[in-house]
Amino acid sequence: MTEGAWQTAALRIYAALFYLFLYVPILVLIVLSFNDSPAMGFPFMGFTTKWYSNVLAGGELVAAMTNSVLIGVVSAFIATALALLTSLGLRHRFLMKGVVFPIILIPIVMPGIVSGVLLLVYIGISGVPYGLWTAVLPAHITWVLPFAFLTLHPQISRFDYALEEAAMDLGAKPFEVFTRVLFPIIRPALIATLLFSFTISFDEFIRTLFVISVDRTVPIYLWVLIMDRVVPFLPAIGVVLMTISMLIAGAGFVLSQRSPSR
Amino acid sequence: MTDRLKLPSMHRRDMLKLGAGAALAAGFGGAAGAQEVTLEVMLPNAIISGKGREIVEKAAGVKLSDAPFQSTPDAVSRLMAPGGTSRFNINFGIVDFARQPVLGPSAGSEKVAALDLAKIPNFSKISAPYKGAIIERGGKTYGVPILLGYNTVVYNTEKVDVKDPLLQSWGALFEDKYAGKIGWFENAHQMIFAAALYLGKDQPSSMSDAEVREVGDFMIKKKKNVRVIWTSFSQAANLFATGEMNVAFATLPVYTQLTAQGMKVGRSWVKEGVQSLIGDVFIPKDSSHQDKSHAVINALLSDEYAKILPGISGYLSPNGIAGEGLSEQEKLDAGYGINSGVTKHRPMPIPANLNTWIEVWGRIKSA
Repeated sequence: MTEGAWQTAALRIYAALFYLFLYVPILVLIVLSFNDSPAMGFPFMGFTTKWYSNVLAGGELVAAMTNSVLIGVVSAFIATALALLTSLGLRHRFLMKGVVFPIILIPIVMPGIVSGVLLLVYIGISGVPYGLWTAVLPAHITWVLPFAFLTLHPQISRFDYALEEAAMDLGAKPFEVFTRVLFPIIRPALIATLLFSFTISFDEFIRTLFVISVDRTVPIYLWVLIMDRVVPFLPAIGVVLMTISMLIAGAGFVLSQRSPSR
Repeated sequence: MTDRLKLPSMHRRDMLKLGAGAALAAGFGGAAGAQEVTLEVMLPNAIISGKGREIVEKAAGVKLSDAPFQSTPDAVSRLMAPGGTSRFNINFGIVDFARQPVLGPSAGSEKVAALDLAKIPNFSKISAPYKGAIIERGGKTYGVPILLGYNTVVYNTEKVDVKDPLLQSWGALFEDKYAGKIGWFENAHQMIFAAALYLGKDQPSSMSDAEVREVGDFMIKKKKNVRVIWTSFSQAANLFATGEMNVAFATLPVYTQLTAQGMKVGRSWVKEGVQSLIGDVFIPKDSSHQDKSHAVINALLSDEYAKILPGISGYLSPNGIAGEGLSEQEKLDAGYGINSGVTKHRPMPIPANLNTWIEVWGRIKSA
């Protein structure tokens, strides 16, 4: 074999191993979700679908998923809107513009547990009741906003302002400039930001744990399950969540591929 | 077009008034109909699951919404945090840890409400071994015990010789015999306490910093025998089921759940003494529905609940009726020997130098 052939073969083997490392755990999860065993692991003791019945029939997971989806959607929209407004604002000069960027990124650099404690103390001092919409939502927005900003800001900052100026020269009002010039072009970026923000929010655990009351989001629900129960149906939960995530990601991909309207 | 039915005509304003009236009536009617109060509680999930929850909700006439309970330090921290005294209707804590924080340094600084014992008639059923766990100050009662638990050595009966005398000692977690199949628990206080008992320390909670470090050095030497330091029930169950762990430090609910799942596990009455702990409940001082909270506490001390508690969690109730109807051997097997003194046990007061324990545990884990 020539040297190039060796390199190609080595690269293919490396790629195969890489994909195996990434995806074999997912396959194992799927296999274990059908394992008729009181423990969550091997050996495989028989095929069963009862874990899926348990999971889908139980109201707790559905309630937790509903909470996570609602909080995720709302926090994604709010964070994306705030990120958009911030990015648009940063195109102009104003006093202390230089500190806005670092301030927005503080939640990312601060350890999650520190953020959680800060939120717990702040919410307690301010008298805001602990709960899904009063405490968890603001916690999620503050966590998601930096990610939304970092996703959206490069798109906004690269946008050719001359297009907006041309529209204004032709008599378009600012709202028309936004809706008919800027928004159609940045729409794929906005959709990507929304989806990314949603996944960040959906996955958020540590800050939520400090400020949630008696409700459950999916990460909190799973945490409580594994901490004080034996849960042989956990792989089934994982497969259900993974399926839903893939469907959402697929839908998002389709939406983002559509060209903007003119 | 004529109106054949000759209905009275109705103006728009009349309809609006009617609608408003209907909405008001629905609101008042709804309020009057909504007798059931929902209490938000911070209690171990195991004790208000299934039948236990049904009994308590029915007896107290409430619906319970439980927050994610993780540990006593977490629950007490939430009580101590700003806004914590109104966050939940009922809090829980292991009395050895919780007593001081909930009482505060002096009279008047309590974080919890004084209980009206007239609203907890089952308080009189608390048996003598639990009286010391009642949290009191100045003639008032602030916390009431609702369960007794213990930590001990748990083992896979299919993988070990159940007659091995080493299993009846904390030494099973440290000595070489079960090397590679031992599980420790991710808890500084409880693990170092167990090692200290094995090393012959009579009062582990009173160990000096040097003694704690000495125990830590021993544990570091024995860490090579440890398969895993487990953190969750699920993990412990899996490790037993897959055979990666045959002998482990385990809390009572873990043992209860493993046996409920059909796993062949046994637990020891270790000769140095199992680690016993009593859990109390209290009512945060600024919480709402305190009458209903009293009713829940009363339900947690009821005869019906006392009989069901061991089955759902393994914990024992302080109600004197608990254990009635069991043979002497059954009582011992369930852990009632701890109450009677037949089973050796060690309460676990929080050491004054807990920071040293935590530092030493950090060294053990990173070794």
